[in-house]
This record gives sequence, structure tokens and C-alpha cells, in this order.
Amino acid sequence: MASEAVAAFAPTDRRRRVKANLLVICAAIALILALIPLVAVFGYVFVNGIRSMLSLDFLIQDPPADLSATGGGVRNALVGTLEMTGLATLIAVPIALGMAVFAVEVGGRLAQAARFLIDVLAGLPSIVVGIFIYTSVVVTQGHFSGLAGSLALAIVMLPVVTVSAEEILRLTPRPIAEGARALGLTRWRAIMSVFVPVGLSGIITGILLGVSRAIGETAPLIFTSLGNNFFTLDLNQPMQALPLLIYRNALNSAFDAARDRAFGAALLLILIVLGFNLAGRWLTARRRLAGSSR
Amino acid sequence: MTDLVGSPETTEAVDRIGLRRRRWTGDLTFRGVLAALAVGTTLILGFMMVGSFVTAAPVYQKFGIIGFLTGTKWEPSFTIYGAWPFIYGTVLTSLLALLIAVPISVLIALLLTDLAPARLRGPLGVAVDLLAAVPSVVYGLWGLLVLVPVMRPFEQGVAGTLGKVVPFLGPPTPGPSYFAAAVILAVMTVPIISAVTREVFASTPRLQREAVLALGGTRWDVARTVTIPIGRAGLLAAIVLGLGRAIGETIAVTLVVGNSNNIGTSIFAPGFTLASVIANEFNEATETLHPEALIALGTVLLVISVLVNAGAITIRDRFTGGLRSGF
Amino acid sequence: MTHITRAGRFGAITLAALMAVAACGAGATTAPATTAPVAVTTPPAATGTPGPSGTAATSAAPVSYRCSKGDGQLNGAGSTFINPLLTKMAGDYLAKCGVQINYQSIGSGGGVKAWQQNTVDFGASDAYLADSEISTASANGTPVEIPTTFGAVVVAYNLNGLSGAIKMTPDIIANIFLGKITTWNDPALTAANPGLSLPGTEISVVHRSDGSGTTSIFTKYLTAVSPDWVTNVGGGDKTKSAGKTVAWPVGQGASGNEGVTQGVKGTDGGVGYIDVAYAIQNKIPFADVQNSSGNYITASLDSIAQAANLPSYPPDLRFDLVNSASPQGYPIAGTTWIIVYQDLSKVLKSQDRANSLVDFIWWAIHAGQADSAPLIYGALPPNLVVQDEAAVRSINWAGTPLLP
Repeated sequence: MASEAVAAFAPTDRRRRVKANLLVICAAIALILALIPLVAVFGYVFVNGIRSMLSLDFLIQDPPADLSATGGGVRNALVGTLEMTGLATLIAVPIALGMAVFAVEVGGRLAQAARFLIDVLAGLPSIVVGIFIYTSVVVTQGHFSGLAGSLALAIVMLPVVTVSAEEILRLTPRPIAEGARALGLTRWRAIMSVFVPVGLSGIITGILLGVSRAIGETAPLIFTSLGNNFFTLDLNQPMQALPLLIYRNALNSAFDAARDRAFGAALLLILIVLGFNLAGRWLTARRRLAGSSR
Repeated sequence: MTDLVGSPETTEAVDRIGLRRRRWTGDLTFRGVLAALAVGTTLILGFMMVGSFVTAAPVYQKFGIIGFLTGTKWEPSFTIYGAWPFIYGTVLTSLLALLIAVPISVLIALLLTDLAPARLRGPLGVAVDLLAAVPSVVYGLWGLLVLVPVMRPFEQGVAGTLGKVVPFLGPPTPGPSYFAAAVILAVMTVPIISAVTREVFASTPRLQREAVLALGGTRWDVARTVTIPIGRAGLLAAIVLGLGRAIGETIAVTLVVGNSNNIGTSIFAPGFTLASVIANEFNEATETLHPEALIALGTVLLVISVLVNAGAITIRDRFTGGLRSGF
Repeated sequence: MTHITRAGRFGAITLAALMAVAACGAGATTAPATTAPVAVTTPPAATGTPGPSGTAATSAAPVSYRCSKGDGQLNGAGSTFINPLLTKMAGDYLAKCGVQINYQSIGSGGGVKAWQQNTVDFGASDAYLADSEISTASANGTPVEIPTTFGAVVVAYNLNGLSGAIKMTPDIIANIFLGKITTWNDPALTAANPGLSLPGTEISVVHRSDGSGTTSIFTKYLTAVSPDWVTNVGGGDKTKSAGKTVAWPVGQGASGNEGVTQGVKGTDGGVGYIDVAYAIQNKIPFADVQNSSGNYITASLDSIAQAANLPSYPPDLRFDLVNSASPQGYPIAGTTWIIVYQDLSKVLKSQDRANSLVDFIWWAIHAGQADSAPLIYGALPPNLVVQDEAAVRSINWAGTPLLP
């Protein structure tokens, strides 16, 4: 490649420079195209949701029983979302990382089969996941529950985290991998001490993608956690979630007050995911900084 | 992160290998745990998928596999179930979405790895990632209440001019449509595709990229000769991930696709996708065979997903060859 | 809207509401409002007697309410239409009895399914159970269907520059949704609306795409009034031309009341059907509909009550309200039922839980009715309350009645 490159990269080649600039311009346009909906969606949700969010009651109160009444909050949905997504993350992330490592480092038929199923799962609509958990967990248990919701969300997260973790593992540069093996590290130690730290930012990005995906999902919860107008921490009870509240109140409610709360919930949900994103970034950055100072 | 030779992480790793005695137990336990995980996951997912086919079996028996897949009528009140309008809608909206999202995503990924000034990369990356922070139900709401009304004049304009020549771009233009769904899906898949692509591009060896620059290459040369070729497999994985999202997305699409059982001749016509018809009708599916037919649509999605992934794996294996980290 | 929240006022308000309904219904051949029914439902300012022992509530004595605690929580699911009312009732019941009634609007069919599979304590549906649905659930026992409230479906439209409500005959509505009337200045429409100058705008039809009780009521109406509808949509079969989903000959599908509203609002000339409460709350114009007596009726609390007030109801409480014979009744009206099993010992974990369930339903058909009018729901007329009472009393625990 190097000799070819020397010939190709003649610095005087003008067309090359023009092409490079054209690429930058196209990329910038692409970025702007992507950012238009971002600004539009955030602006829309902000304008419609900020009224509810201005009061602390929004976070520490449950919705009023009279849906047409103003005030009240979304505490039940907020806590339910955090609890169910948290449990789903605890279930899905170890499995996803394990599957990724298994597929990349161990391989074999079993790994291929499992990975294939996970890829297929990524294309399955989340409502089908919800229906599956409904027939296998909810009907068996005899009641809707936060636990069933968590399981559905875990299945939704699984492929997202697995695929990105796997790609990162695959791309860990060969010299490092070979070096670690040559030094006599077992696979396990090599992964823990080389891959994981090196790929950490990628893995965190993958987890964040998975959490972002799961935390905003409505469809898998409709038939699993059902929703709850009251506050509960009990995973055996039906549990409310922010997306459920948004879906039911913004789309079918006759009442402005209920819609305002739904948009407030949408803003809150976006802010939560945003918080996770920034926290993940901060952790990654801090880790890198600490590493380089040693 | 990519410049690993002599990096602190490596040094740290080397420091830690005094524990060679425990190698075997560690390795065996590790493999055992991983294998158990894989078996468990395979069983659960396999059970889930086989279960769907068993539930759907009566529908396939009644209409025949081909009959069900190619049937163009879906009339639950008459116990007539054909999947074609929804297969068409799913394929059309997903492909349109990728057509919009992939070039944008790849350009953004390149911008954020090679092209943009280093200072801007972080903030811009955060901004694109934020698109993934918006839950699908919010996209759906925004799509229904803002995007569809805004796009309607544009759709009418196109349908009134180009549409006169190309029926595929012609009327009717009620607003909610395949095209509206595709635009929402594109917005939703851009952060996924670009995030994974960016990680992949960023993980390509920095030495090679710097070598190209040192040899007088432009950023375009870096992208052309290093980033894209090496990241190609990862790029494909990213596209498959985005396609998966597009095929399976439910709530947002349901709100903007127009929900018509008929096959629209134009991309501006209202239609249905597999996922959105399941979401729309499963709640209230009380007619004969109706729930089973909806599950059967789920199995169609499953098969589409299998085909997409099988194709992707074949292409990936052809491309990667020696590029795997080979550990 | 929210002034009726004091628990102590339920009794008085219920009485007032019931008397109002009874008065409205005077034109129909109901039992005179002064006999048993009103006496039965005259409550003594809602004096709840806490604890499972309770007070006897016979049809001769004033109604009182027992507050069995059970597990402190009950779950219900179903009809989207009844959601605001049941949620409001749940809040009042929590304040009164300390029991949380968690109701989730997943759609009538979803509620029936969840009830059949015994994953909720009660279902709520805008359509009474079909025979097939009853047989599916037979493993868990016989159902009891309790009419709990009334509502209506309106034909909403969007026509630029039009002031005043459009009048529609049954034929006009059927032909619009059959695709036979395609412009707003169709001769049939101009004939029915002599005072309005209707433009030649094309009609663009929007219907619900998610199965819904709203669609069920609307198509039952079309089936009742239009043989053409039955022929074209049901192929001559009335069970196929009415239901939660039908084969729409024209138009664009949309999800939920909001989806239909957006579809109608987004197009000049748009027309669709939505719940009356939704239309009124959101100030969406809707048509006056000609009823079987030839009068054009605006959907309102009063005209719904007129339509819902039948001289007597069938013993199994499965009945339709569409195409009312009442001269001032709105013709596209419907009922929402709470659905439970008759013998709760097969489906619930404890008799305590069963007690708390029947106590809530008993409360909902009496004091809870006070919540309906402010939220634009039609309250139960006295003679139906009596029949409801009998239905609730038939609910038992392995043969032992749960209510004294």
C-alpha cells in the first residue's frame, strides 16, 4: 500500500485537493441534514413540555386521578422506567458482552448460531418481543408485572449491545492482541486487561445505545408491564413507564392537561437519556485521562 | 485509544501477568460461562421463534405459505389474510430509509473521524448521538403532529410535477405515507449507523492513517485508502443494525405510515408495515384466526431478518478474510 | 370541570344526576321515576363502613358502601373510551376506601383478552362479549357484564370557511364512508343543509386503523341504518359489516382519536369519526345527525342520556343503543361494560380480593356515577342501576354471594 500511496498522494495534485474539500462540504451538509430533525424534535418537545417540567411536583407527584386536572406529576412513570430499564440493563449487558466475547474469541458453531439469532432478533419488532413475554411470563404468572417489562426490555437491548461490543472487539488492533497472547496471557486475562480497557469507550457507547433504545420503547411494555396509575417499587406489580404514559396520554387523551403531562414526560425522558450519554462520555474521558497520566 | 503500542493500557496489562499458574482454571471457567450463556440465549431465542411458528401454523395451513405471502387482501372480518401489502410496505420504507440514512451516516462518521477539526469532533458527535436519545414514541408524535403537515406541500409538489411522469412519485398525497415513515426511520437510524460506523472508523489503525497524511495524502485519501476499506465490515454491520431497527420499528411508523391495507402505487400513498399492522391490530384481534395471522406476520419479519443477516454475514466474510483480530 | 371531588358530596350529586336522567327520560316509556329505582339509589351521603363485614344493602334500604381492603390494589384493562372516567373513579375510590384501582387503556379487545386469560381482575369493553369470546373464557367460568357508562361517536369534519354545523342523514353518512358521496356540495348534502353554502371540496375520509370500540359503535350504527353498507362492506352479512375492524371501502387509516383528528384537520374536506368527549374537549366541529324520528340531533350529555334511556334492558345486559327510537336521542351512542367472572374463586387469589373487587363495582355503579357528567359521560338511568345491582349481587365466591 505504501508504494502505491507515494505515487498517489502527489501533493501538487489539485483535483485531489478539490475532491477532499468537496468531501468535507458533503459531510458538513449531511451533518446539517441530520441536525435539523434534532433541533426540530428537541425544540418541539421543549416548547410543549417545559410548562410541566418547571415545577418540582412533576418529579415527586403522581398524575391526578382526574385526567383533565392540571398539575400532578409523573413520579410513578419515572421510577418505573428507571427500575425496569435498570434491571433490563443488568440482565442484558453481561449476556451481550459474554456473547460478543464468545463470538469473537471462542467462535465455533454454537457461537455462530447464537450470534445469528441475536442478529435476527435485532430485526424483530419489539411488539413481537412483548407478545412473547406476555404469553410466556405474564399469562403463566397470572398478572402483568414490572419484571415482565424488564425481561422484554432486556431482549430489546440484547442485540444492540452485542453487535456494537462485538465490532469493537473485532477491531482491537492485531499487534496488541498478538502481543498479549505472546506474553502468555490467557484469553480471559487478555480480554479483561487489554480488550475491555482498550474498547471501553466503544463498549460504553454500545451499552448507551442499548439503554437509549430500551428506555424509550413503548411496544414491548404494553403487554408486559401494562402501566400503573399509582406509584410502586414492587416488580411483581404492573408498573408505569414514561413511554407508556406518553403514548396513552398524548395520543388518545381528550384533555390538554394530560397532554401537557405527556409532553413533560417526553422532555424528561429525553433529558434522562441525555444524562446517561453525557455521564458515559465523562467516564470514558476520565478513564483515558487517568491512563495517560500514569 | 487506537495508538496502542506502548500505551499505558498495554504496560498495565503486561504488569499484571504474574498469575500464570491460574491460567487454566481461569480459561476453562471463562469458556464454560460463555458457552452456558450462548446455549441459554440460543435456547430462549430459539424457543421464542419456534413458538411463533407453531402459533402461526393454522394460518399457513389455511392459506398455504405462498398464498399467505403473496395474498394482497387483508380482511379479518372475512377471515382473509394476505401478507403482501405489509411485506411491500416494510421493504419499501426500510429501503427508502436506508437510502437516505446510509450516505448521511457514513459522511457524518467520516467527518467526525477524519475530516472535522479535532476540537469540533466531540461536540458534533454528541449532537448526532442525541438523535438516539429521542424515544420512538416521541418521534412518532413529532412525525404525526409536525413532520407530516410540513412535508405535505412538498409531497404535493413532487406528485404534481415529477409524479405526472413517474407514477411511483404520483398522487394521492394525504400526508401520512410510506415516504413519511421512511423519513422518520431515516432520522431514527442515522444515529445508530453513524455511531457504530464512527467507532469502527476510529478503531482503524492510526499509524496507517498518519502514514497517508505524512506521505502527502489528503483527508479524502485517508478515508479512501484506510478508513473505508478497513472499516468496511464494520460499516456493513452498522447498516444491518440500522436495517434491523428500520424493519422492526413499530410505534413511530404506526403513527405516520397511514395504515391502509391497500398497496399504494406511490411512495406518497398511505400503507402499512408488518410491525405497524401487528401493533395496530393485536390489541383488538378477536376475529377468527386474526391473532394467529398477526403472529404469522411476525414470522415473516423473522424470516426477512434471517435473510438480511445471512446475506450480511456472507458479504462480511468475503470482505474481512484476514482482518479479524485473530485472537 | 373539577369541582366534584369531595367524597362527601357523592351521594347528593349521584341523586341529582340520576334525577336529571330520569327527568330527561320521561318521554320514553320508563317506569315512573318515583318508584323503586330512585329509592334504591338514594344514598345516605356515602357513609362507607370500612372492614369486610359491611352493611347489608338491600333494594329496600338506602345504598351504603362497603370498603373491603383486599390486597389494597386491583388491576383492570380495556376500553380507551372509559379511561378518563374510570381513572377519576379510581382516584375518588382511593380517597374513600384506600384501595388502588389501576386501570390501563389498552383497547377493548385487549381488555377482553387480558380478562379471558385472567391477567387482570376486570376488563372493560365498548362492545358486549361475543358468544365466541364467552366460550373462550368458559374455562374460568361465566362472565358478568355490567354496563357502567354511556358515550357517543361523532362525525367530525374540517371544511374551510364554514360556519354552523353540517346536518347529516344516515344515508349521507353511509354514502360518505362508502365513497359514494365524494364532494361536500353533493346534492344530498346541500338538500339536508339549506342554510349553508357548501363548497365543492373533495371529501377525504379518515377512519380508525387500530381496532377500537369507537369503530364498533360507528359501524354498528351504519349497519343498523344502511342496507347498502351491509351489502358493500359485509357482503350482506351484518356480523361482518360491524365490528372493531371492518374492510373500509375508502379512506385513510389513522391510530387513535388523535390520529383521526390529525388526519381530518390536516386536509381541507376531511371527515372522520371520533369519541364525543374528545371532539368537545378539543373543539373539533362535528355534524348533527338525523335520528330515526327525523330530528337532527347534536351529540351532548342530554341527547346521549335520551338514547341510553330504555324502558327495560335485556336480563344479560347485552344491548345496543345505536339508532335510538327516542325522539331527542342521539343515534350513534354506545355503552361501556365492566366485565368480571361470576365465580371469582376460580380466578382470584383470595376472597378478600374478590370482596374488594365487587365493592368497587358496586360503588362505581352508584356513587361513582357522579364523576360522569363533568367528564362528558352519560350516567346510568335508575332502572339500569337496579339491573346492574342484580348482576353485581350474582358475583360469588364458590357459590357464596360476595355482597350481602
